[in-house]
Amino acid sequence: MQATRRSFLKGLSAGVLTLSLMGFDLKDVKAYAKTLKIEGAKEVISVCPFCAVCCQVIAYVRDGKLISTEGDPDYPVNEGSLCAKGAALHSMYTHTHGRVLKPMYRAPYSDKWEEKSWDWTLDQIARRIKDARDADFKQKNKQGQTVNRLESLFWMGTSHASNEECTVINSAVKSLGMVCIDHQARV
Amino acid sequence: MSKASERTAQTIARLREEKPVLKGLIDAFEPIWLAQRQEVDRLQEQFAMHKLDLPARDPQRFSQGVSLLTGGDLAPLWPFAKECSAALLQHFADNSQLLPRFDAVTAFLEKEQDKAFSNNFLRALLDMDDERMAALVEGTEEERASITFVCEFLLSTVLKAFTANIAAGEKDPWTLWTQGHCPVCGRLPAMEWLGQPVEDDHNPYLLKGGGRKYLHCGMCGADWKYRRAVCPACGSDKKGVMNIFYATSNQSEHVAWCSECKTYCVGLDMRAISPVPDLDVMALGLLPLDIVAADRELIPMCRTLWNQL
Repeated sequence: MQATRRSFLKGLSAGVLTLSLMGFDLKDVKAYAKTLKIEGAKEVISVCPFCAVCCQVIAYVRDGKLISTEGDPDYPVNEGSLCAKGAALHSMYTHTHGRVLKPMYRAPYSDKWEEKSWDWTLDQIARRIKDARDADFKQKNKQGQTVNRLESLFWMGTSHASNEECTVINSAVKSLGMVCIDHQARV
Repeated sequence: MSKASERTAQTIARLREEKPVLKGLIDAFEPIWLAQRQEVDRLQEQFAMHKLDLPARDPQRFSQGVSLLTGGDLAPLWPFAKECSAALLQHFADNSQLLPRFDAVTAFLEKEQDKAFSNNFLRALLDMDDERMAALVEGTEEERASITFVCEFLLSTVLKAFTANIAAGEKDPWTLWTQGHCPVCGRLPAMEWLGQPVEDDHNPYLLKGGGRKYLHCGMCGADWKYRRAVCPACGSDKKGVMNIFYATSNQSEHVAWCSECKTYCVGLDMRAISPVPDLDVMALGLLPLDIVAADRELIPMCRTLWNQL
């Protein structure tokens, strides 16, 4: 970029010196700038969906698509750090290769996984819960006291469940009589 | 040679190697950068020895976003700025391209000014108030532009020495400051940089992830923390208001810009740069990104010699 009459007058009207006014020829720098391949993204603050710690992340979004993530250094809980799962957050949304996308079933004593439909899988889960409950539900203990409990099933909560979902799940499994309930908030 | 001077020299050498297209500009400005760094070192010692400091930080004013020099008398800074001119002007004289009206500058600096004028003049410089400057400084536009350029450089040398002494005395002197403008002089940032990962003070097994944003004042050299997702210029914190762009060939250099007010700030990602460079020198290295930003009709947050295209 050479000092043109227009840039000279523009600079002077602002009362400031510019490189062009000083007589530096920026033609080569401008040509170099044109050769640069420029990429950009929007920085959007979001929350890691993996666990109850809810670390904040900065999501880089280009044309509505997630292109990368990093920990948010301004969030006091994680101060820019992410665990191994949080650091791989980007791949959870963009790289589906190798991930299990449909229910897989391995029958007792079988060494093979079979792909099943969601309808079949949900029916099986419901059937087996019902069968186990029907077989093992105890109305009274050895002392004859009413207990209404089911000890042969165990419920494990997931970090992907919100507080509200956990409340509903807790009520649902307790209504079956289940007493063995735990929650893993960080896996 | 002080550590800071070594860093300046290293940054210049690195810039020359990495960006040959900027060789002409680097060659022209190298003597001035090095001389300024030496003057900052000298003034730092002088200020420390005589216990000279900027006005004390008032937590209440600070929390309200009032910079240290806001409303204060700037006249006491002028003698130090003139003192620096003895060492620095020679380098402008050596390269006539850097200063079109050297004669007007020397005449202005030789003239005795009263305290009221010095205060008004330095205030207009700090505020980049060109209209006020036009009323204060006689002469042609070209003469005034030359005087403004040199005096800003001299004032910057003095303020950098004060700020460096504050930074040397405390680990994080601007921790209470939450504004986008400079806690010392009130200017908007000339650059931003993203910090390196740091070990947790209380637990050696924990490492903070880095990437914390610091804003850098081109006038006084202060570096202060600022939120990543907020625009320093307009203060907007709308979701997704801050954008970045970078050259794919070097992602450690970027431009952060606000989609609300369309201002931008060039920046460096220190997680990918070692050793930490002299930011005022690196500002020239980012000139190609300034050109891209200008092509996209973005406005610099703070006027510098490198972004007035």
